[in-house]
Amino acid sequence: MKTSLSLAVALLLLACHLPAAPGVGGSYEPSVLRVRVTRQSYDFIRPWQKESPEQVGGLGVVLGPDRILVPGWLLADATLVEVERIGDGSRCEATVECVDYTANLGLIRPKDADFAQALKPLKIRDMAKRGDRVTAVQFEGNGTPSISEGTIKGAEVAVPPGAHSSFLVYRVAIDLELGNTGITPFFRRGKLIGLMVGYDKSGSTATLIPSPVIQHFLTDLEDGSYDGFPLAGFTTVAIRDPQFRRYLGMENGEPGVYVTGVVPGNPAAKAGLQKADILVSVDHYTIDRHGQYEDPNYGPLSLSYLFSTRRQAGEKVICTVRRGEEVLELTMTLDYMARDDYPVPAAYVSDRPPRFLIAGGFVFQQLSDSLLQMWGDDWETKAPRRLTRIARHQWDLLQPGEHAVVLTRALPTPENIGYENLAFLAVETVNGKAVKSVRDVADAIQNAGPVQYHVVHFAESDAPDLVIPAGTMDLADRFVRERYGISQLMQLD
Amino acid sequence: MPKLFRSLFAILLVAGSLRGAEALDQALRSVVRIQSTTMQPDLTAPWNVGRMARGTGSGFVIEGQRVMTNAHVVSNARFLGLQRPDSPRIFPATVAFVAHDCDLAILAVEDGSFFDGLQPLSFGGVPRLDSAVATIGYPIGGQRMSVTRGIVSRIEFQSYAHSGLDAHLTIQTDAAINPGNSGGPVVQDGKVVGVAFQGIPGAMAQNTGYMIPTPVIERFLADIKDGRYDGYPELAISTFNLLNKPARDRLGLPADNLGLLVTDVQPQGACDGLLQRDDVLLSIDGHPIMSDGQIELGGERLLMVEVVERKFIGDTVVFGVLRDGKQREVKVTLKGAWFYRYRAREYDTLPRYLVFAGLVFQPLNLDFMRTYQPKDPDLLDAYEFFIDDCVYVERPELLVLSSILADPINTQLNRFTMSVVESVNGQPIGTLAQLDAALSAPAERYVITFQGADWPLVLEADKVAAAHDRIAQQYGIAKDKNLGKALNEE
Repeated sequence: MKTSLSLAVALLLLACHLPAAPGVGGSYEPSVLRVRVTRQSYDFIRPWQKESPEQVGGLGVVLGPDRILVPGWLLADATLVEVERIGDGSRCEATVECVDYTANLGLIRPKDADFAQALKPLKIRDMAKRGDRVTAVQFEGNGTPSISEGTIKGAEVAVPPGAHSSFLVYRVAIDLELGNTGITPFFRRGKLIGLMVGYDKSGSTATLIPSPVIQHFLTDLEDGSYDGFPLAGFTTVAIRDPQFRRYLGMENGEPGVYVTGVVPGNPAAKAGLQKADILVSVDHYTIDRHGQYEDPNYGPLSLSYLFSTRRQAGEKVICTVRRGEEVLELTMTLDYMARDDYPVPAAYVSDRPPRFLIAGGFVFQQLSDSLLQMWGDDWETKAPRRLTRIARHQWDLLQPGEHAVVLTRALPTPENIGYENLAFLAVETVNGKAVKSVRDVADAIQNAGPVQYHVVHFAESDAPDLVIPAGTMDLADRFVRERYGISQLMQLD
Repeated sequence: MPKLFRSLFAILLVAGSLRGAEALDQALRSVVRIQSTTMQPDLTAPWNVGRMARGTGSGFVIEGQRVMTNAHVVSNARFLGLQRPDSPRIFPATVAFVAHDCDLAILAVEDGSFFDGLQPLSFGGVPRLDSAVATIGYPIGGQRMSVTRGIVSRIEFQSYAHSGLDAHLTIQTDAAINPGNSGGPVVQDGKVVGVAFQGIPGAMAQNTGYMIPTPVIERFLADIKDGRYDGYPELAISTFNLLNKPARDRLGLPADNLGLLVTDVQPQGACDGLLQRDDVLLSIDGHPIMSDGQIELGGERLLMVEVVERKFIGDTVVFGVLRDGKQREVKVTLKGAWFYRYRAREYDTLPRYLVFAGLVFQPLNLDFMRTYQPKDPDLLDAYEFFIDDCVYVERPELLVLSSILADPINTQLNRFTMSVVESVNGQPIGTLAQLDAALSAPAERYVITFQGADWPLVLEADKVAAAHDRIAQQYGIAKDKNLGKALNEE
């Protein structure tokens, strides 16, 4: 992702041809800002340190004097956020108000009140329909605005670039004057209709995070606490194969999709939805055999929209389900689960340092997608299979809030000779106590009482138990500090 | 030249002394050229006869009018021709014995005149490090015999590339190595001290060729004495070093650098019920076991398993074991470990498969992985954890839906390819024969569940029956199954 981000920035700064029609778009200047971010990511393979800082940038849209909308990825692991007026280049530091990496949306606020007051907030349009004309506003490196016109081709539910879940997106047919310059606001009749997060030049198609998703993000914030887009927590598959349909006892034209999985502890599971149920309707919308319903505004849309963008956490959704001969009505109370509470936290949980503990020269870490991604883009085949297996089966192996802890390496000390090649083993117990978090490891060592050895037992049947002499823990810590230059030996929260 | 011959090399080195030169002269006459015509099975179309290929290798005459060579020179051979160095005549030969786990084979020649005037070569011991050896054979680059010389660089346990699974004692030399040398003798003082068999291809290492040393050769010759090759016994245990002092203290072990920790014992293996996790192995047949798992044998430091390596199925080894602070002797009767073999390449057998309604089912093994190179994480896990999770105890083999021969009855089923069959109509499936039985049993429909798939595959029996001939004809499938035998039945 990093490469494409810096590329986007480079294009933004270097683009320099195609002057826009004079006067047009000039009015956007106090409403669209440049955002410059210095970020420093955590190093998940060396959890005691951060990676080199880097700079990224993009555009933000002014929605109020203290509200500037940006894509969420821009704010990940930020150490300094600045906003800059495109016209005069004046700058101001900004604070991050809220960020949702799942939806790829964030809000920042300029620190300087005078700077903020001089901005001109834009309104958001509720929605757009197929065929609506829209305007894209881009800026050349010297600040000259460039306006392109396009047409909404349609709406669908998909994972937009930079996001990590399915959302409503708009597809817009447009030839961008400056090509893909990264984040680009789209307007209809002067009101914001979406943020462009992807552009296919060959197909002249832009992908927008549309205003309904942005509105959802803002509405959620209104009560002062941000929940996130709700999740129902189940998966489905279309029932197309005639032999499978007959096996399920379904008539030829009968609607419904097959429930393939229900995540424990999530709203669907709590409402009683089960694997192999046939989901027939949601909020009285009939679900067809492809898993779509007829949306009054957009036409056929994936059923996941009925649980996500249309709804806030806490709202109720009524589902009709066929289970064998029975027809059941299930009421789901929608909820949001922070990705950090997943047993194996998703990679896009940013801004949080990796949880780890170095004890006796052994490095224990919480298993997360971020750690697995250290094996590169194809980590699913490259990372140790013992770890990818835990990640894929996390909901079967662990309860929400429980985490997998992994011995990632041993820093050789005089006391742990012989164990130096042990790596990537899942910790099951420490001193006989079950381990469900890095803190559990620390507690089990701390509260062991007067033992001679701490004993770490792994889930892998062929791994030896680690024997760490209790009396030498401080010695090992000092050794790690002095020889390896690691000053921070734990991060439990 | 088959792919195999290109990746596996051989070596050849010359002794320097006068006496050595005379002896070498004699040895040269007994080294023969082997031409093979092979059929390489094609797993992507297992019902076909395979791809024809030709290759050459080397061999040498040993006592009893036999020719020794590498297994990989004669694997999957349909026709073998031998040539003496002194005559253009080609003698047809057959494989009398083949050991794919140690890459050795014995050939028989029907026409006894082939051996007229040829001196059988005899075997020497394990040559010393830095001593000179000569490798003789027929490598690429010409028709005539070639001799190269070098020294013994290293004696170590190494992987044998032919099976992809096994590792045995190996001698490394620094001679130039080339395809075609395979199966030729490595000679010192007129005696065979090894069979050239593999090298490291590419630019990663230079002057590294490998030979099979005489302990492995003699074990093979002894194994086949009863007319049958049984293969190597396996301990089927996992061990870990006991270098860590705190770990030793906790077990009550003295600081004498002895003892190897048992971490896992495989069910159905030789040590099942005899050894257990956290046992400390102190000695094997009286040889003290060091904390890194090595023993001293014949003046060399070798892995503890070398003792087992030189034994036969049915033999015993005696371990000195420390368990719960008490020393005891544990006698283990050795046997093979079929459950590891799915990770070995297969030769000289036809691929096993079953075609049902255009769905092609095949056992999950190394050949399967090499052929299809699957990326599906569930399938990779199934292959990876077959042993660790003791899956084999319940299911001796895993069957994969490898491909679908498209037909109107199966066009919606692509999601299930590269998935492991779990059950058919509720019947758990653990062998290809069980799968065949379940799919042959009369039923209205066949409901097949797969590991990692959240919904079943459904086929209606009448549709399957109607499609059978259509699919067989369309795709040219003469035989819709080759059940063979699962590894645990061999």
